[in-house]
Amino acid sequence: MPYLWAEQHQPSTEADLVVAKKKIGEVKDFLGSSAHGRRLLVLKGPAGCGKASVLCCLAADLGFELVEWSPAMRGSRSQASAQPAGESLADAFLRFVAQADRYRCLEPSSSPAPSSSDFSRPASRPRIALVRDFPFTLLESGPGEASKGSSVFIERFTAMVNSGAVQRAVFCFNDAREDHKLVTRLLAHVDSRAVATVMFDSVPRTFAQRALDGAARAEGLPPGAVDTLALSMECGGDLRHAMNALQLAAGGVSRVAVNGTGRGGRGRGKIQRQPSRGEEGDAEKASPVDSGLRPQSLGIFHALGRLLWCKRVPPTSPGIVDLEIATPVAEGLPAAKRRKKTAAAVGEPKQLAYEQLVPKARRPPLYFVPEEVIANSSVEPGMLVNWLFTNAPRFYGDIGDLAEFSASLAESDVWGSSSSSGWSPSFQGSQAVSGFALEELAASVQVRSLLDANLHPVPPSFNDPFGAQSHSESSGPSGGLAFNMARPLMWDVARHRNRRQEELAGLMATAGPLALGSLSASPRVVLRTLPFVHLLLVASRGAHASLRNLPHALMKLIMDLSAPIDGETLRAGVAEASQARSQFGGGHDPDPGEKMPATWVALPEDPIEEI
Amino acid sequence: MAMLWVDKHRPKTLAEMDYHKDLSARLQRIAVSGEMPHMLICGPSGAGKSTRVHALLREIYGQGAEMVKVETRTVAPNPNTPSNTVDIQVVVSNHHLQLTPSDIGRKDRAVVMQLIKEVASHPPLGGHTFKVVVIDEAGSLSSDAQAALRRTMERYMKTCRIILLSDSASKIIPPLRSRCLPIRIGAPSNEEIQLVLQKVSSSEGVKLAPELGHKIAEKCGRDVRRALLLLEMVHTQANSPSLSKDVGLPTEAWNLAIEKVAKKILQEQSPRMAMEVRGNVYELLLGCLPADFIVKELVLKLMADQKNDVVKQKALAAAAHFESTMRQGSKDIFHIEAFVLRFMADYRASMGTR
Repeated sequence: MPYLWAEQHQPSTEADLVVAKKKIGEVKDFLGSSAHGRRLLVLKGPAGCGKASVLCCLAADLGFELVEWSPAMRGSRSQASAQPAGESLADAFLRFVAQADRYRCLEPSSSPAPSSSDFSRPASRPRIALVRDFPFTLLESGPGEASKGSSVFIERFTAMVNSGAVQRAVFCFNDAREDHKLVTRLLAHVDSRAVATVMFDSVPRTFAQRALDGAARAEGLPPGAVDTLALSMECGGDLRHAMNALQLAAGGVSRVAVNGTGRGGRGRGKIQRQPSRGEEGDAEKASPVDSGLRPQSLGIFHALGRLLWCKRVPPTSPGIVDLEIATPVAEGLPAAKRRKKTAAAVGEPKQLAYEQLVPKARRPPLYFVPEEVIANSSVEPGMLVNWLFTNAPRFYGDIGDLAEFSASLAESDVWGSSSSSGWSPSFQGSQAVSGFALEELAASVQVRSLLDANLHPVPPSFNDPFGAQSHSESSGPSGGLAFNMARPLMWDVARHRNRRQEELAGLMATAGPLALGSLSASPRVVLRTLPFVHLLLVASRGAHASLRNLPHALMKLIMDLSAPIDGETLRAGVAEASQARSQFGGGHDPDPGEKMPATWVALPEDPIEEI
Repeated sequence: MAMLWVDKHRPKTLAEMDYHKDLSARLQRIAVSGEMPHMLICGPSGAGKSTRVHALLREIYGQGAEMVKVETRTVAPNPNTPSNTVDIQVVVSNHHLQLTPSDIGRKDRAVVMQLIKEVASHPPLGGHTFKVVVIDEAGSLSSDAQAALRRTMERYMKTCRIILLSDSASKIIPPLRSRCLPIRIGAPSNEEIQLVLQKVSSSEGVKLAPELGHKIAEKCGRDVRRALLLLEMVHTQANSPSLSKDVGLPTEAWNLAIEKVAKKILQEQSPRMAMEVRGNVYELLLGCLPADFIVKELVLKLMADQKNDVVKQKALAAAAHFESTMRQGSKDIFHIEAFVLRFMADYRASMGTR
């Protein structure tokens, strides 16, 4: 019977959850105590980060019944509870949120409904209303009548929540711009004390891997049959996606225990031809697996390693280059962990010394074609460039080289990105350059300039202080040499920035044009007014004569915006990941912690493969 | 409703304006004449652009211009697909409409056209011959929208006047500039700001020591808005009706943050530090600071204590260059980092030769 692992392996208890403890605690608080008057919970977060899973687990643990909204339910219900057949979507939704079905005798339209304490509860467990796909059409602001409808709906909703008719309702929202807009609009006039908001971040990599390993074990996959690390890296925090990918990758692997105690992902794929690994047999057995995702997931790591290390084949002419010359010129750097065989080999690519690279025209050529590496990485060129950008500084020994690389990144970003933001119409019409070709060329230039600029290549000796990955790895038992590529943070930054801007715009609109002397959340306001509002609030301890009337949510947002340098948003994920790390290391589940470094430790050494 | 001092003590009429008296007189004459050209009003932020526009509107229309409300207008940018709509918040009175097109983004051309058409299609009330559309931050209009605007200006000239507000006239395309009466509102002088500060504090019943007034005026960078916010801030902090001269002046959080970044850059120039700085820049971006603003502030702070002219010149050149590439590109962080690295490399080189 076909099924999705993502559903099959949904966590069922709190212990199985791979979400930060703090967030779980916040949701638990909400469910456990409606006494605080919080009646509506809003969960926000990117897709696949476990919003609904957390809720399901906790609801089960705490003995709630979860009722999920679906628009289809309208029809069937109207028969069951003898509702008028033509009930509108808005009515149905509001009734659902208020769980009006509990009181069959009441007319759903008679609002505000009395609070539940006056009535004997139904025999079943207390219910939580869960709304995952919010009926957006209700808030759609069409011209004329429709927009009136939406404002009426918001009014009714607000009245309902404020009056206490909603007991326990949970709304899940995605992290898109529209969602933020919608939420701020929906909750604009709702009493802030009645609403709790929990923000989920995408699942940290270590967490995701743990979940994937768990699922793989439960499915009876031989350990290492599927490269969970690669999958967890690739999914970008979307665990559902990762699970589906896992299922795809595992398709065809026999579930019976296999003798090959696979050394994990890196031993396979294309590098298997490397004689020193001595894993041919194992690799052959696993090769059917490769049909699915393997080449892709290995591709990006290989491409990164190859490009970043910037090795070249030393000239074979007089004085065969000793390894000592090839290692970093700077004394302060700890010597790289070397492979024995590299030392002996002649013509093996390595990081060359500056002296061998200086006249650029005469330096040894590259031993690979960058464009092929890009193509083989099987990721979008733009994405590869983001990874390179994020990790490049650690491989550069000289700031001047790095500046040069960075400058050419910026240059090619100009024309490389113009395809997405739209050429001038005339250009588009002529079809001279298609957008994708341009993007590809830009990536090619960027990659080549990475290789071209680096005249002082060094092995990485420090970690990205903000890179969520590297940080957690280095504090782990294996030291810094595990897979230590930092994930690009651009998307996260953009995501949070968008969210804040949308929220700010929404909140300022509801606060009115007089509250802060401006209507829109323009940069001018962010720069000139809000910092002082923050200072005023701090100085007056929130009791400022005019500002204390601001909506609570707006105050909080202003506080957030005014603390730019503490980096809480970025570091939060890091801390949690490393926590999880230590927890795995000493705890009940030593497997992932111990095995992963073994499989990935050699990656930074840039495997030599035939392309 | 209680307001911030800046908004509370905003002059309502042209006669109440504290500085640029000659300009006020000229605007007054325009208002009295009952006829008005399109206007382009530019000047640095906090110099009183929108204050003057509001006073002018009041002068023309009387109290009616002050009865404003906020509306959400829904516009369908493409008449062929009426279901595809854009929401925009506008401030309207019976006589005027004010919008900030930077809220709209890419479809600003159609949206601005539609709104102006809407305004122009209803005849002006109260015996006036025209209504007014105020476009705030007109510099952020796309050139497409600006080009469309010149036609609209002529077509609806009969019933509708447009006032453009912008930081600098250079962001407005020449055809538009030539259709408007240009008015430049310069930043007030140090003394004028002190005058305003004294006036506001006395009407709030606060005694402001002249030295402190001087200090605030120095600090605010000739920005009245900032000066008044600082004043209120100091007042809240001191929590007493008289403000002595030795009160510390606070500063914006972003200011401190960018200063910290600049310090890091000057302290060490290495790939390692570059990576750390990148993290900090990410944080600044998370604070919703505009990317070009970050570059600008950063270069000013980096040059502040710089003795070497060559380094200064190179820093400025790099900042200008990467700011311009940033405008055309899409990944802000690339360009900010490129600037930081360029500066690091130049700075390091200059240290080596000395």
